[in-house]
Amino acid sequence: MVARRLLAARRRRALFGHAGALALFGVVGAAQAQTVLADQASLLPRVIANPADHETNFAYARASVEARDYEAAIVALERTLFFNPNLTRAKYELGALYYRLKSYDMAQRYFEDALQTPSLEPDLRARIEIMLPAARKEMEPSRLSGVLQLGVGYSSNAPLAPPFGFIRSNGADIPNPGPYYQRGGANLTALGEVRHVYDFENQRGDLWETRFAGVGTAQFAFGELSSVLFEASTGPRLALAPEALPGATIRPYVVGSYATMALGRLGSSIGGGVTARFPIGDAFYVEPGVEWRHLDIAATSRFLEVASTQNTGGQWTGSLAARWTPTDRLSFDGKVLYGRNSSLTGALTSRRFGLEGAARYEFDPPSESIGWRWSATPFVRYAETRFDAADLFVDPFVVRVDRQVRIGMQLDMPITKAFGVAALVQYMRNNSNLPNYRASAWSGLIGPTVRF
Amino acid sequence: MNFRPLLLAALLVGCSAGAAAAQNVGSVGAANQDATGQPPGGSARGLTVGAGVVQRERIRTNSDGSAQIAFKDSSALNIGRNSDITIDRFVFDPATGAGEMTTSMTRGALRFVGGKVSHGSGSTIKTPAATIGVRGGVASIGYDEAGRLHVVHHYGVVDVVNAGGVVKLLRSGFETVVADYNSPPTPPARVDPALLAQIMARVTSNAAQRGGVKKQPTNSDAARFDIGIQRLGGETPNFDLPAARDNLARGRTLTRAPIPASTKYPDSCGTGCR
Repeated sequence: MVARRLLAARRRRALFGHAGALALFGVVGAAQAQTVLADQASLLPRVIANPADHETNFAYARASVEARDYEAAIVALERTLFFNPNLTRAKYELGALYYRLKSYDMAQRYFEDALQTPSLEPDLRARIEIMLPAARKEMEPSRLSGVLQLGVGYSSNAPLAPPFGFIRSNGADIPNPGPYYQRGGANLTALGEVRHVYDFENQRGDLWETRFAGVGTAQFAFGELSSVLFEASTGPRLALAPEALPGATIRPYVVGSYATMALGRLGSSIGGGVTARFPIGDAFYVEPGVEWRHLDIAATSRFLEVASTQNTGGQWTGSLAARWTPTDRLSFDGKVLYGRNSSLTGALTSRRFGLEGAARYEFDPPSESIGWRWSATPFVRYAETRFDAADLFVDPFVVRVDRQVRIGMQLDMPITKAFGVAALVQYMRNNSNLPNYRASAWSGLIGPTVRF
Repeated sequence: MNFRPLLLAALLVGCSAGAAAAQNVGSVGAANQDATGQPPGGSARGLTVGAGVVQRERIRTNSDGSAQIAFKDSSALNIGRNSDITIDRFVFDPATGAGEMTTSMTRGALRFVGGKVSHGSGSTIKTPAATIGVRGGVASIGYDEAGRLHVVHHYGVVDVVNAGGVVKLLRSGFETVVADYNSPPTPPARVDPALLAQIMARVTSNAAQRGGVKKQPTNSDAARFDIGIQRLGGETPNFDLPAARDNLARGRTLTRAPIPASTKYPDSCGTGCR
């Protein structure tokens, strides 16, 4: 009876979670975490007193999963396998629990065991076909993974230019002579990220991580703005103190990027940085980092563009990122950053301050045969750029200050083991104390994804 | 001299010690026969599901027997066939989560899944070949046919100590092998999947066993509690990249001043060029 009441209460919480989590409320996550812990604590004495009460046992396993006490859930479900060695749902769940503990060998054993059990349900088979290869891959010393997307996009301001009106020139407002004004346009975008991890197979868990990321966009209405941006970084991820501070790592790396526009070189960068990750409990970590790059901006035919060779210089960025995962399905990311761009002129030398937040909510897909969770990630990003000196070409008496806000939502819908669909919708607004740099745009992108 | 207070105190201490010894530290979570439990000073009894387990209880299984002992701190021992295990000491304060746990295994196999005690001060499993400390964690421990002890790490920190040396296991899927108390544990190495499968098969029911219950749990029971619905969240495309691309475009389209009409544009210009 109590187990049923708790089940009903949990379902009510789940319904609330589906509706409420997307509202970005951390309070909801914290309250849910407290409630599931209370559920779990109330069920344990009943399980100890009567281990053969299957309903209480399953309710306890469920509450333990939601409380992210995966070991307690393992105890409960391994007990049910004593009672019924053909219980495929318990085998699958155990595989998934060991996977979450990064015990990939045990996860593999349970998934393989479930596959060999007669009358395995098709929905479990679909999920195992995703999780088993993932578990096997995690045990390989050399691991390659990635996600690529090809999408059709539209922006209400494809050139991200100021609206038709006035711009400042030599301290006076003049009609915007163009050629770029706010105007909508579609594009075809390919983006991807590929990661390689080499596992040194030592007890410290040291890795060598290499990451390639790139985006290419063909603009339909503004072909000269079609661009390709490519970035790569590589470096070791070393455990700081695997026994005293499990999960704490440091990662020095080198990084480089290359960008083209209209098939001509736009610029490149090369540099290096170091980040460190410190878990605090099971649900939280912080990641401070610092990076330096040398930027080399190519000469263009239009001397007075913002991205001219005068931007060539150095770029320092310091950041502090954090992730909080209050429940199994909900995580919050936050980041604060401060940076400085040193350019050839004071008018293009600037300090940057940024604040970013995102909430990722994972939910079950509409079909049981889909083996992945789907996710919705609303985000907000704020960036403030303050330049050192006034730009004489624009206004000798006003030092430029830009404040850019991006808000949006990304939706990820994996469907088969490798293929899915992802979408992004966002609004960007750049407020500036100079009209030349004001711009706003709604934009969206949707298209198929490939994972491997 | 009046010895009565001393006698009374001794009597009280004796009574409380006896009560502590007889206090249940957990229960039999599952049992396949033959599996017996022998409390200190008592005789061996067949283990039944839900029966209490006390400190210093000795649990033995034969070639068909296996059992799970569930402790009050949420930890458990899955005891395999042909095993001989004694729960030497289990102390747990539910209010603070602190406690102490020591078990001895002289033969057989077991899987230890940690709870609050092992997450605090750690749990100790004594064997003739080595003493194993588990902090947090999950570990499988068993003897092979040659009589060597295998300690397999699944989660947490596992220390294996004997007169020959110390080996620390920090990564899942790695094991150390100990021949005897004076031989050093082998350096950590990936466990042979066949050996792991063998240990897993020993510490649970075989296909015909029911773990001591009449009514078996079913998949539909499990489904009602959302057991078996876990999925991975897919890795999301990196949508920072379009934002970076946008900033590239802005650098190209925002002007600092009017552009002379004579400006040349690249040959690759699209429809937006003049």
